[in-house]
Amino acid sequence: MKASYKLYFFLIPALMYQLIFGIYPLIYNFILSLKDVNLITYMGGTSQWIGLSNYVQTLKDTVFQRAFFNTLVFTGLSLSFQFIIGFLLALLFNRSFPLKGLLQSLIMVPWVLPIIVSGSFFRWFFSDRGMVNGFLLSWGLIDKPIPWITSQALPIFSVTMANIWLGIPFSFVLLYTGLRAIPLELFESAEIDGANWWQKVLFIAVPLLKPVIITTLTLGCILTVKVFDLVWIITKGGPGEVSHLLSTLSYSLAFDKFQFGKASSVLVIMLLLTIGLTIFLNSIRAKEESSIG
Amino acid sequence: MKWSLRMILIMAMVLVAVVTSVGFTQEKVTLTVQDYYGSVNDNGRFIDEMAVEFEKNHPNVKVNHIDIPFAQYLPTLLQQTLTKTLPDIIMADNPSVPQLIKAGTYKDLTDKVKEWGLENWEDFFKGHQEVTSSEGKIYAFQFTTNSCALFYRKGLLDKAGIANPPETWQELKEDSKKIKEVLGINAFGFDASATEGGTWQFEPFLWSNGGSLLELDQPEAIEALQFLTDMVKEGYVSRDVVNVSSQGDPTQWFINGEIPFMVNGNWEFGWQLTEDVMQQLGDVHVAPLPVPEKGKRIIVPFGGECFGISSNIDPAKYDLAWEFLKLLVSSDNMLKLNTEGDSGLPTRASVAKEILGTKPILKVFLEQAQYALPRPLMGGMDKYPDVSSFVWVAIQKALTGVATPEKAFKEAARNIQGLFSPEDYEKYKQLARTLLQEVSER
Amino acid sequence: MGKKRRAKEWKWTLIALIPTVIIILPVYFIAIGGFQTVAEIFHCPAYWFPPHPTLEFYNDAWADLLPYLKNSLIIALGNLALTLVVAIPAAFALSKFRLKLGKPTFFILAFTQMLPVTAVIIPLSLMFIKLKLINNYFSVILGIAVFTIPFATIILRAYIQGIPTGLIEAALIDGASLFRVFRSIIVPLSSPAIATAGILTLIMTWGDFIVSLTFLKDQTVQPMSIGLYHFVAQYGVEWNKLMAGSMIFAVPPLIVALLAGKSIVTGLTAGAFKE
Repeated sequence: MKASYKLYFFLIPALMYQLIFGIYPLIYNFILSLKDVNLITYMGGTSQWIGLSNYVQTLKDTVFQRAFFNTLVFTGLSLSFQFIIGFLLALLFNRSFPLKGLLQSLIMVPWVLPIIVSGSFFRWFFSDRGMVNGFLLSWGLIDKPIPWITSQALPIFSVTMANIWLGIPFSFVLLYTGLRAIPLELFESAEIDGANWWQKVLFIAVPLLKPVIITTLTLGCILTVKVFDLVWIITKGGPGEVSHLLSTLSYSLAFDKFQFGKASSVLVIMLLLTIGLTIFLNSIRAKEESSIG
Repeated sequence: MKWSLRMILIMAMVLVAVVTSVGFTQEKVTLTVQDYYGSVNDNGRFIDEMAVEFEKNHPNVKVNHIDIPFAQYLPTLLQQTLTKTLPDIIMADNPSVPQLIKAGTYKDLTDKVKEWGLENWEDFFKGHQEVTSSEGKIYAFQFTTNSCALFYRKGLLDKAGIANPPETWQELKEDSKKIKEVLGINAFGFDASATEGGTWQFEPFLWSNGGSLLELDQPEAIEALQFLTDMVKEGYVSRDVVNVSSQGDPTQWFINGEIPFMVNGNWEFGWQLTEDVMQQLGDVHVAPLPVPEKGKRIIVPFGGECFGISSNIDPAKYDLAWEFLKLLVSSDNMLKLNTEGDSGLPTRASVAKEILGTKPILKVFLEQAQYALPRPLMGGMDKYPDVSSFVWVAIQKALTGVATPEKAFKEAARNIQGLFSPEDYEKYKQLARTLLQEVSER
Repeated sequence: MGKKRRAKEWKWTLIALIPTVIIILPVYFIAIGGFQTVAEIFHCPAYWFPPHPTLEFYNDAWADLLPYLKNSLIIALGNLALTLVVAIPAAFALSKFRLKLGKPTFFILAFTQMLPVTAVIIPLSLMFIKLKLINNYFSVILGIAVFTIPFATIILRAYIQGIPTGLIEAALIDGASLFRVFRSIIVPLSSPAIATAGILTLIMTWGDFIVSLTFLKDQTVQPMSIGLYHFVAQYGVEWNKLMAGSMIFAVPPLIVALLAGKSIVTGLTAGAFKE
């Protein structure tokens, strides 16, 4: 639709707010990444400009490379499963039945609980003496505890599982609201035409939900790439730095080792990764929008 | 409907903003004291008592005791330092203090101390002095101290047929084997998390074997790590030690009778091993940690926090802040703190002498305090936190089998050496060696 | 006939119960943790029922956390108001119109959320100190809004795109002002989406910890999320009180979710089609 200048009044508050309070931190971190900064030099104001040196060192660091790979695995698997499970739940709840409101609220609980508690729960859950191993051992399925979070390869998958659990409510709520906005008549008339459940979902729900789906995935992506608390509480990026995500690595560099310059360079790379994924997801949306018109 | 609801919300928000930003007028002077003790433990309660006493003697002053959650303490302190918004009197864990001094967090107190009388300063144990001063200037006082030892459940040892707690690494291994065979449980627990706690609990094993944080690629250091790695491999220690949330987790296993031995410190008597718990369990004892061979001395790091005055304190408040700081570390008050409380040890020699003998359960800790070493001096002074972070990563890698102790420590040694200029590295390396030798031979 | 319909509906309840129970299982253990001593929580294997249940720790946790409740409410509601007031109009402007600033704005909104809170906190506090905004609720509300405004805007935009363009065009042709269209058509029709964005924003704000900790030093103005952290002490965690406290902490946002969930009703736009 045509734009009128009056619309800018609607937009300006949000835009100005983000420019003032959101862009400044971005620039700040970017500048920090171009300097050799640690606690002493920062306080003394003697941080040297070293250009892209931090980036070169970071990219060569094997811990970083592993963290990058971990972040891709973590984000990809988390988004996929959160979306699928959230979508299935939204479809399931898209009808009325007794106690629906109560069950819906219960599904929100993973997101509402403070992460210190849910994270700690999963740390215990996956520990050698924890519930998963206890269960598997007592049923004789294994004879030694599986090192879910005490080995090299498994921890990243264990924290991903915890994150999937955490993010289900988010996907569920967004997709459910979108689903509810679709008039029942569309489904009913399709049913009369002989469509089965699967066809109804694929040919009616999904196309109409495209904006909501893309948004869910985009926001989900932004929120997932920067997940920090959960992983920090479960493994602190360990053991031995094998389960670091870019977010936890950056935090560890800043607050454990006080290497602020390097920490910011990891942050900027993480930003670029997120931007790349967001652009990719939104290019799909742009294609859709031009066809709807 | 939605619209009017939103109007109400907007007005509420505006009201809140107005009310809160107007602020309150204060005729009183506020002194803020920041730590992570909270009011639950002995130290926190003591500070609250001191605050009340101080307010009584200075009616125009209000003492505001701020408690920052432990896990967030260092990041918060950092953020305050960087934005120059430090509270008036600030506490820090002693290994971080040299770095904080270098970063300009603490104010130089030398003149005030001279006024007070240098004999007060010299009453503090040498290690504490070294950690809270730099280049002849005094920046803070160590307020309390502690160290680690071997806690054991005699009841479980009896069941496994072990008469005495182990004195050497070999004995610990043999006892653990017996415990596994007879009782079917893990024998030993400690903190190997990716935090200072992990490095801290490893240092006794490292130093008693003659190893150094700055020379991890040497056999003495590798042997120490190998010992602990073997304990995990044989199943005497659970791999879960790498993921404990703090040193307090193994205490829970200990209380539940799931491990007969654990590394822990005297603070537990004021925390989880309180009098009623001790009475309930009935068989908790303390012995020095095992040493590599009979005859070697157990050398432990000392823990505990330090208090100082912030470098950006309002000059008008400086004298008041100094008065309060003196109150916290005067010998009378320190005696009071350590007599009434169970979780710390005194940091002043005169007070330590008076406490000795009055608390039998602290006997081991008081004795080894004479040989306890300051971590920063053993690991590169202001760079100690960085050094420590490489150590705990290596420990975790070895204990979980990601790398052999040798490989893990060789990598850590490389990284640690890279933190320093060649001259500084030599300087600190020698310093560590000198201190260790001196204490082993005393 | 009535019995058959009711039985059919309960079938769905049972089906929905399965994933719900699986999802809730961790929460069950956290809830019962509050009834045990710390040693009992650590017991290996874990207890499915508290061996000696006691209300002591729930009571302690409640007493410890109550003073923080009012602060959490003020911060959460203040942020919600600010966020919605800014986000809903922005979402409207971005949804249907081809504005020159539209695409850049959208990307700025997306970008500024990409940084983790911990990376934003130091630059923000530097800024807030210069603007003299420290140590009151306002600074926290503003700080959290940096994340909740773009978040809510992006969510709302997606739903508002689903409102039939024809409705808006018809009203505009009839001579209604943009503001009128916004107030009388967009807002009512997107109220389910507003409820959803509102719930998610509220939950994000309720759980905020870092921003509050950074900007609020005085314990009397700190929210419950920080109050909870006082159970995580230097030498060990008071797990039972932490778990009990977490359950108490989770109740207000859950109540909001329950109430707001009822306002997400089907077929609001169905009426518009019919006419």
